[in-house]
Amino acid sequence: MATYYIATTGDDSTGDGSSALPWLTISKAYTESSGSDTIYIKDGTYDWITQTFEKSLYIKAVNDGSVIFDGGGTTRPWINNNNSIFIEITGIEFKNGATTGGWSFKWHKNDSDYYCKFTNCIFHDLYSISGVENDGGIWTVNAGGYFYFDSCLFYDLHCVDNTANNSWAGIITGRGSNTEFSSCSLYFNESGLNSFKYLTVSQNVATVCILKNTIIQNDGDAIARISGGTAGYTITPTYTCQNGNWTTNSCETGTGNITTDPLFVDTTLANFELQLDSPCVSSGTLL
Amino acid sequence: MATTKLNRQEYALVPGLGTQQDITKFITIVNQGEMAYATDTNEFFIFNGSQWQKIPFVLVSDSSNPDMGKIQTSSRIGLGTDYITDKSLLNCYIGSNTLTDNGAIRVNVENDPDTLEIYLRGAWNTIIYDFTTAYGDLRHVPVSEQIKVWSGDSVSLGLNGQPIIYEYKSSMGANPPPQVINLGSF
Repeated sequence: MATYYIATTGDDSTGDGSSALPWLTISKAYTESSGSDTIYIKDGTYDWITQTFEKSLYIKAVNDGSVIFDGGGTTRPWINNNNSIFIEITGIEFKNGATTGGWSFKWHKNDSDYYCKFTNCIFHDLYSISGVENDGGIWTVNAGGYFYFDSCLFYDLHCVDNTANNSWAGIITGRGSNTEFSSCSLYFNESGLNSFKYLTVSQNVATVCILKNTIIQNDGDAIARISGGTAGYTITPTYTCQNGNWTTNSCETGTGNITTDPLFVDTTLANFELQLDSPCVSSGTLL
Repeated sequence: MATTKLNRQEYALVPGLGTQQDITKFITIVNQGEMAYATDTNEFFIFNGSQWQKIPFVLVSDSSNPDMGKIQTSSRIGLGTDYITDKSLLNCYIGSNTLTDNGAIRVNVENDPDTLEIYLRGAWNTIIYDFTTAYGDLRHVPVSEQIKVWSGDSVSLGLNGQPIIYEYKSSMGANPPPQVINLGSF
């Protein structure tokens, strides 16, 4: 299992993928890598352009929180397009997804051997767009796949329209997938829409979504739905805070769940640290 | 006994005799349930209709002298009606246990997660096994996260670089609260 590097100062032509001579783009690193290799990304902001993944990879920021993939609002996302692989992404911020034409982030494949794990990642300013079925800012769907989000932050996921079908959402976890949010914060603040979904489970196939040690807050005046779909779904929050303007609140019951304001420090400045007197402090479970 | 003299009638006796190799290669002239004794390995075989299968015991010498004490049933093969001795357990697992004698072991599936327990001093005690060592540090792994024993902080960090478990407590959300230094009062 080889290790490769990319950097904003790298060069796809003269580089060799080493730390001393890194490449510039994720696409070059992807082309040169083999299954189960690790791609390290050095500090900096990179263009978030379409990349299709069809082999197992570890993609890691050298320094968590210092790597940004910026779509500029016009680009297409990373896409998984193969079965029986895993992809683990650590420490990367993704922002400014496509505002027209469809999903902003898309991981989908119908294979129980497939899993994708995000750790210490940030997703913000992603859009669900009207007119595209299964639309969503982040789309992690399809039968049998497993999706894990550990210590990830989601905010400013915009739902542009909620009128066309049953799957408009900031995040879609559906079609038989198994998704788990552990120690994540999801903050939404939308207005002008009614009963749209930000976190939805299930479309056509029964789906499981687990929330643990997680905060979900809808701070906007638009009523949001945490779940829905045409097939059965199971959404299981434990030690989770769901607060704000929701059609239903899954945290009114269940072990360790609360519905009170999580008291983020300052959401207007995207500071989602907890205030010291937050009801979420020391209210989680050992994972 | 020569191999050529082996036949169904001899094997029909209980037991038939032959070397292990002789026995196991004769499969067409015997019927299901017939028994044979391997003179070279001191093992018993039973024919199951298609092949010889070995009875999983070997014979050992028994003493001509009586045992001490009243009970005369101690076994030279290490297996008695109520004991096993001098054996290694391989590819085995511990299940439930209703006995409450010192040293009894059980897996208690009524706990979540299951616990391995030993009965000592009149009570079932959990056997602590969720520990590991790394980088000279003792770490507790209660479920999936490694926790530094001396600080109670997890090895895994949240988005803000704080441990997701702090002094054996966990908070909700991606940003664990900052650690507070309590200087006490003056």
